[in-house]
Amino acid sequence: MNRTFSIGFMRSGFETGWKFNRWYGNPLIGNPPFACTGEVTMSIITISRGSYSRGKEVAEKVAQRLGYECIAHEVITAASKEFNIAETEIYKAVHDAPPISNLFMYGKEKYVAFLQKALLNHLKKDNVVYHGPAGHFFVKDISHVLKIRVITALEDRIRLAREQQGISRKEAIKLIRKRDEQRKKWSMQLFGVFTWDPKLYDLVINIKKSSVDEVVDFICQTAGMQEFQMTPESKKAMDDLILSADIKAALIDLKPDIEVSGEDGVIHVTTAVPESQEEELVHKMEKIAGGIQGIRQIKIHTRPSVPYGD
Amino acid sequence: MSVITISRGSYSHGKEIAEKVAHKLGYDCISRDILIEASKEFNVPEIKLFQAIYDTSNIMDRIFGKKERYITYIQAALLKSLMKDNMVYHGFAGHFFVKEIPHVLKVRILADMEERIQIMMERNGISRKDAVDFIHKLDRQRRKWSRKLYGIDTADPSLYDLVIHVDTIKVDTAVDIICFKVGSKRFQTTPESLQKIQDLSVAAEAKARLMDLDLNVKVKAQNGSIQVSSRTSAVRKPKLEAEVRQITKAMPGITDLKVNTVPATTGLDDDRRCEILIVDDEAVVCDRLKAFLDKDGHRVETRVDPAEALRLLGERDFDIVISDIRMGEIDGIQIMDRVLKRSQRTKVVMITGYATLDLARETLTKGAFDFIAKPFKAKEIRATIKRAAEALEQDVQHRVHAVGV
Repeated sequence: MNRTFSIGFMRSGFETGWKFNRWYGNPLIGNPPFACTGEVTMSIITISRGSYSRGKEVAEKVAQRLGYECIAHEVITAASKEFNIAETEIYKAVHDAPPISNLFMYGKEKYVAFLQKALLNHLKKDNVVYHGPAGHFFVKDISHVLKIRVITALEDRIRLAREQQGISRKEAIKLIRKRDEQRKKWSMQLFGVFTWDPKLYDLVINIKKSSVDEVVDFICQTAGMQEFQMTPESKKAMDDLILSADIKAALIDLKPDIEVSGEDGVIHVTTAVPESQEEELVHKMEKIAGGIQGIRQIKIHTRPSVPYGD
Repeated sequence: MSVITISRGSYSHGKEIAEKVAHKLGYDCISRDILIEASKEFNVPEIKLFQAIYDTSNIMDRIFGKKERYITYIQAALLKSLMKDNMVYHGFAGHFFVKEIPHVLKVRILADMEERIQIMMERNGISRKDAVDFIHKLDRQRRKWSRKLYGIDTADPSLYDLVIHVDTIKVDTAVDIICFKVGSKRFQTTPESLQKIQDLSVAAEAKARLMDLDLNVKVKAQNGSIQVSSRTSAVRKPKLEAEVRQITKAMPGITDLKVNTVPATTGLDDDRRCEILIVDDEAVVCDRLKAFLDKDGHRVETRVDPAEALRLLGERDFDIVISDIRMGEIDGIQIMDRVLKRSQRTKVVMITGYATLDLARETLTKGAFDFIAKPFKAKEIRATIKRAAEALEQDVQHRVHAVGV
């Protein structure tokens, strides 16, 4: 059963003003060839990284160079404030592998929805480098987001972990393995992919041989390329995504299994509901969603579900 | 001044990107050319080399050592080409061979799966399902191959300096990105890094040429001096050294040669490799024995014509000679006499049928090491050859001992 309800045309989109900025000329001849001019306009960069992979340093320097905002844990803080949940709880939800049980799973999904909302609202502002957890998952279909993964040799990570933590080599290896394992399980269970899968990113950069500064130059240059400039289509897709995330975060307490997607400003909500409760639930959902700023049209799709014990 | 290797899946724009990068930088772009060069250099049909790379079926693997040999030929040819510098290589396994060379930029291109399917469907005129199956099969094959040969997974991003996902990023941008990256100081050729690639090249070529002597030979090179390590019995060491010297003499760029042999100390079969001659007028016996002894790692010659065997024995020594007793005009006894006259240390093993059992026993008193009665079993032959190899070893030790005293 489909229901449609509309609330005027209220989307207060972020001001556009994007323009194309093409990186041209032969970089081998250019002078100075790889200087990053900061001419990159309107861009979002997500940097995925393993622990102790110098990714944080890279992200911070890229942001500094481009005059962008650099965020990671700020997103968690924002989510924690907005939804009144302890930061550590969200942190746990996004860092640890969730238990298999669906009961807990929904708990995790809730936090992930909150985090997604907080992150996307940060990205609204544009000109952002995000290097916290799961950035690329949340924006995977947005073409103007440059999705980068930074990797380095295990030996480098061990060295870095030892320097930062003051631990033995053996402990460092154990720590790195544990973190990697956790991350792997987590992304597999929540998103069905492995973080190391290069297909998730536009670029995987190995900093084994390069200095941090070189990698920073490289990322800045790439961000300036035409592919990563916002287009009317990619902006629309981003708007839909932000609105969907807002609605999901608002409705997830009501129905943890909802799926939300947006297309051309129309938000589709899908959920399973027992027939007897349908009327009431749809009404509640409409009421909550109606209060969200910027919403234009919402379509609620329900499919019958059988309550336990029947 | 740099070298770029581009690894790619099938139908992934890798070739297009490689060619455009080469064009933009004014570099040479090579791929299949390497196979042609290797084929010329080492006198192997190109198709064999091609199969060694792309055919992961078991049939190839069963042919002992052939595949490793072909891969080494390709490696030698590739390294030689890369020494010319200013090169883009796309295709098979470039990054394996140049892992430690700092001025090589190792790139992997990933394509959008949807696009690969489309290209595959168009080019081969097949259905979507077939295209998907085919791409998965090719990918699996490639991964299996690299795991088998090098113990690594080609899809592992940590093998590369840069992985580019051609999806949002378009081909021309990927070209820009690669050109930009290779312009970095890190990837410029230095005299040291060039020396490194030259060392690898010399070592690979020496190995390719020495693999006929010992399939598992190890070769290291540093600034023109090479070090050859081979597991062989002490008996064969001087001969091996001479042979290595002979082979490497013809190669340019080698100033110094050192041969290390790892002596056979344990009873392991592969530590006791022998040079063996088999003489039997029945070709089928020769072939069966050779196939079996080859498998144990021995170097085996066979002669069906005893007269030809005698000629060969006039030219060179063998560790072990296996000969049938009754073979028409020239018999096994004559063969044995000729062998023992030339070299006392060679072990002669007679093959005998029931009719000549007495004769065979008699040969033992005349200096034969042992005899094998037909029909023989694999186990018996292995045991006999093993004892012969041990006896050879002991002879050497006695001699060394005698000299020492």
